[in-house]
Amino acid sequence: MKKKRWITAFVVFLVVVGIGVGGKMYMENKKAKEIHEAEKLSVPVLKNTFEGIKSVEFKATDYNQMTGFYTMVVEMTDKKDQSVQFHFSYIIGEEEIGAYSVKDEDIQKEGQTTTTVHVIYSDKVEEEL
Amino acid sequence: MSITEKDFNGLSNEVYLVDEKHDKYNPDIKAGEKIKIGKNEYEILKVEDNTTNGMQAMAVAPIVNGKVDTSQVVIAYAGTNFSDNLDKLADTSTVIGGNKDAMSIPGWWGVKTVDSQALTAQQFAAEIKKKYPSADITTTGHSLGQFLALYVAAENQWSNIGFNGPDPYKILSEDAKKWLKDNSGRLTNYRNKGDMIGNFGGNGTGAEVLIDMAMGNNPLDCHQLSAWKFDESGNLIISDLETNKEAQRIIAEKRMYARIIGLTLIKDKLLSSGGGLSANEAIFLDDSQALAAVESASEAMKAGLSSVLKIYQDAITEAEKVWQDGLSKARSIGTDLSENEIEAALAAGGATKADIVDSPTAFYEEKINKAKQLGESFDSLAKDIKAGIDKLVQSDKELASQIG
Repeated sequence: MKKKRWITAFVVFLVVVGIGVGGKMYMENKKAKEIHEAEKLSVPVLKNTFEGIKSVEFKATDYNQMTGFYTMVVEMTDKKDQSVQFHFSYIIGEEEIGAYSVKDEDIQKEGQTTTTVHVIYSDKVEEEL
Repeated sequence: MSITEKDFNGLSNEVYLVDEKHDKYNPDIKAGEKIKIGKNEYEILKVEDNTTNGMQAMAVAPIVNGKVDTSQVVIAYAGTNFSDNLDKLADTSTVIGGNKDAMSIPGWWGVKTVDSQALTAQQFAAEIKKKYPSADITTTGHSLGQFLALYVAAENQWSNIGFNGPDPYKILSEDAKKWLKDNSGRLTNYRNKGDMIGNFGGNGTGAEVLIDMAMGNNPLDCHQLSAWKFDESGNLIISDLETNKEAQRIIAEKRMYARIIGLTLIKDKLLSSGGGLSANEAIFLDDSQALAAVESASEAMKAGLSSVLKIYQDAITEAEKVWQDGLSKARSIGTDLSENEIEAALAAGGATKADIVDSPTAFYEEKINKAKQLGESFDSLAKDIKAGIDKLVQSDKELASQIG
């Protein structure tokens, strides 16, 4: 009888931990999805800010709960195959990016990119936009 | 270069990145780096990431024609970073508790006492003031950052434009409180009506501009810096809701203060260049001051005008309603009478449509027209002054290069 009680308790323990871990994984998954979505939404806005973009690779993205801004660190490559890493801020739904760090004005030329851009998200998924 | 409200909003967000405990710590935020917000570019002069008490601050200056213009400096303070316990402690101890100088950090080893964020915020400001003694300094921040920014602005007699900040009046020195009596127009603390967090602490400084964003009362949404939207010129967009008329009037006054300070700077620049004011320089300053006064009076008047117009229009609607109600009541009593007989009966009792609707309506409509004419004459006065100033600047090349 004693052994059975222990086994039941252990199984209950496993289930609770399982739900906890599953719950955490669910939340992290949800957060990762939101980040991917935000990165995707920022690409057309980036294309409307800089000209001559060939590819954009998202290195890191963070959402600031207090301010409601996303901060995204990207490595942007132009049509001359020159690359620059910089960060910019973005609010979902806005048609312009917030602020961006000026690292190389030769590559970060303001204008529009109308051609397709190769995108690599921070979760490593790739897409042409 | 004109630093816009959108710029202050952007800088108040960027300064959060100075925190090394921030998940994606960004090494781009350090002295010498450049940030672009809309059309304006800034160079970072100095940052501080205080790991003892959790304060982050950043000082920037605009880049004009490729050069850093340190005659204007913005100091931005960061708000609460929720993964930083020190920030949460600052919220409790300094913002809510009102402890100005020190903060007690409990730990397993006992309690450690450190400088409060208010203290180190002021120290950072003092360092900037020392390095750029002739700069016009404005502070900014969001939330806890704006609390610190308001505190520093009041203590140093600087301007402030920031967002969602609890009010620091409780910890101000007597000198700062005295200065605020006449100068609270220099501080602008934009607050969202539904933001319980940022609206804490009352409005002792007089900095508050309370805006109804029609966003409900969810503090998580209403406290966000990103909720604020800006127009093409970088000015905060305030909707024309009835509840925002007061805010519009207060902002018109604060913008006038800002213009006058701006003019004082131009005057200082002009005086230092030649040792006196030339005739054209004097006219320019006088006209510009007049323009500032007329424009802000015009803005304030328009806000007042639309409230008044609404009152008049409501009165007209009310008069019509009274007449209609009277008629239906009369009809329900005298069901055998024709419409003409009913109106004659009412007239016998002194109630005619002319008295109840037409004449008040004519009266209010005339008032409405007069008010609109007043609004238009303000506008054309402002236009005339502006044209005069432009003409002056065009004909006097020396003046133009001084202001340029």
